[in-house]
Amino acid sequence: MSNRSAFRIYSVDTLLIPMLVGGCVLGLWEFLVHINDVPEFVLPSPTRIGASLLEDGPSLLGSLGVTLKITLAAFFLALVGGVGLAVLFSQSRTLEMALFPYAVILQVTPVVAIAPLVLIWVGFDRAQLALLILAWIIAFFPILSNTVLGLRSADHNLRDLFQLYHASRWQTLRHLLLPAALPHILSGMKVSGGLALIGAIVAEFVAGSGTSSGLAWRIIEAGNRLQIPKMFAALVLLSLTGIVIFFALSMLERVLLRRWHESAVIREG
Amino acid sequence: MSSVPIPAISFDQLCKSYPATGNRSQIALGPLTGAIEQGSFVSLVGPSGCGKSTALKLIAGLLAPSSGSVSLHASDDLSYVFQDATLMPWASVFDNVCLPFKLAGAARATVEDKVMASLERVGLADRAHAFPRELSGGMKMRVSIARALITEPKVLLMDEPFAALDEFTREKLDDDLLALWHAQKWTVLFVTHSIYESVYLSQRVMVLSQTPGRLIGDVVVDAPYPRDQAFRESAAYFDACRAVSTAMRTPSAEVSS
Repeated sequence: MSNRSAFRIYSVDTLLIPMLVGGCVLGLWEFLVHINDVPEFVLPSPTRIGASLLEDGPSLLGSLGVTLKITLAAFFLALVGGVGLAVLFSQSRTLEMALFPYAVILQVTPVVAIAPLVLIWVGFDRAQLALLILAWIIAFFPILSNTVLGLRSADHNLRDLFQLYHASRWQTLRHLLLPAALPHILSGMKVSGGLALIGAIVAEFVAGSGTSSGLAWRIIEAGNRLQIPKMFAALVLLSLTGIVIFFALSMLERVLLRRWHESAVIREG
Repeated sequence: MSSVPIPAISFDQLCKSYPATGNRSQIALGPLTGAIEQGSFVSLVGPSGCGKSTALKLIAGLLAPSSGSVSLHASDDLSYVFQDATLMPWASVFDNVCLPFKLAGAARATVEDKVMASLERVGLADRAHAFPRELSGGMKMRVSIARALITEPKVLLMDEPFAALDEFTREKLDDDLLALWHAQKWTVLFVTHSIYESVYLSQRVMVLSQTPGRLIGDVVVDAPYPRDQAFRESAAYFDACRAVSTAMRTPSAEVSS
C-alpha cells in the first residue's frame, strides 16, 4: 500500500459530480435573480455575494479567526475531556454509574437555554470564556459516548489473553482498550468537530454582545443593517470552515486506520 | 503411559455453575476428576455447549471454579490458543507475536531474534510486517500459535483452534502442530468437537457428555508418532474413532445423578 492511497480519498467523479450540480444551481440562481429583478436585500445573486466576499473578505476573515479559535479550543478540550472521562469510566463502573447520567443531562439541555446563565457566572467582561464553555458543552458528548462505547468494544478473548500474561491496568489500557476504541473516538471527533463550530456560532448568537468579534456577531450586525450580501459572504465562509474541519478529520481517520480497520481500507483494483 | 506418570494438570471434583432463574444455579461443567500427564497430547471432545471451553478457562485461571479444584504443576508456563486467532488488528504480525514479551516489560531489541525464530517455526518469517487483515485464516492461526509458543510454555491449552478453517488448511496445521509438539514435548490439552481430529492428534481422548459436561469416556490412542496419512487409513485409527464415538453416544442419564 503506497502513501499516496491515504490521501486519495475521493476519486475524480465523486468530486466532479457534486461540483457540477453546485455550478448548475448557482447558474440557475443567478439567472432567476436577474430575470425576476429580486432586490438585493431579499436574495443577492451569487456574483454579488462573490463581490462582497472580495470586498469584506479581510475583515470577515479576522472575525472568522476569532470564531475558529473558540471552535478549535472547544474541540480540543472536548477531545481531552471526553476521552479522559471515558477512560476513567472504563476503570470504575461505579464512577460511570455516578456521572454518566449528568453527562447526558448536560447534553440534552439546550445550550441556548443555559447560555445566559453561563454568561452571568463567568462575567460579562469575559464573554469569550462563556462562548468557549458553551461550545465545549456541545462538542463534548459525542466524543465521550463514542469513547465509552469504543473502550467496551475490545475483543473478549484479547482481554483474557492480556489477563493471562498478567498485563497491568495501564498496559491493558494502552495496548488494548485505547487502540480498540480508536475508530470510535475518530468518528466521535468527526461529529464533534462540526458541533464545536455550530456551538461557537450559536453561543455567540445568544451570549455575544457589542464587544463580540466573531463571525456570528458579524452576521447579526449585517442583518441589522440589511447588508444581505455580506451576510451570505459570512455564511459561505462558515460553510467552508465546516467542510475543511470535516475533511481534515476524515483525512486523520484514513491515515490512522488505513492499515487495519475495514472502514478505512482502500481496496485495490 | 508406561513409567510413573507425572501430572502436568490435575483436577479434583472440578465444577462450574452459573446462576440461573430463581435461587437455583445451572451446572455447566463437572464434577470432573482426573489428571493429564506431563508432555502428553490430550484432546477433550464433546458436543457444543458441554463446557469444553469452560474447562480450559478454569485450568488457565480465567474462571474460578464453583467447587473443587484444579492444579497446574508449572502454572506460569502456560499458553492459550483461542478458537479465532485473537490478534490485535492494529498491530503487525511481529508486534502480535511480541505481545507476551512486551507485557512482561522486555525491550523490543532484546527479543527480536526470538520473535523471528517463532515466526520461522510456523513458516511466516516473511510476513512479519504484514497486518492481520492481509493474512488468510490459516496464516492468522499460525501467528496465534507463534505467539503462544514464544514464551516456551510447558502447557499449551488450545480451544478449538482450527474449527473455523477449511479441511485442507486444518489438516496441514494439525500436522505442523504435531511436528512442533514432537520436537518440544510440551503438554497439550486440545479442545475440539471433531472426533477424527482428536484421534489423529492425541495420545488420549477425553470425552465429555452433554451439559453439564462430565467425563464419559477416556480413550487411549495407541499409535506412534510421527503420524501421517497412513495413520488415517489404519485400523488403530478407526478403532479409536469408533471408541470415542461410542463413548459420546453414552446416554448422559447414566452418568448424571
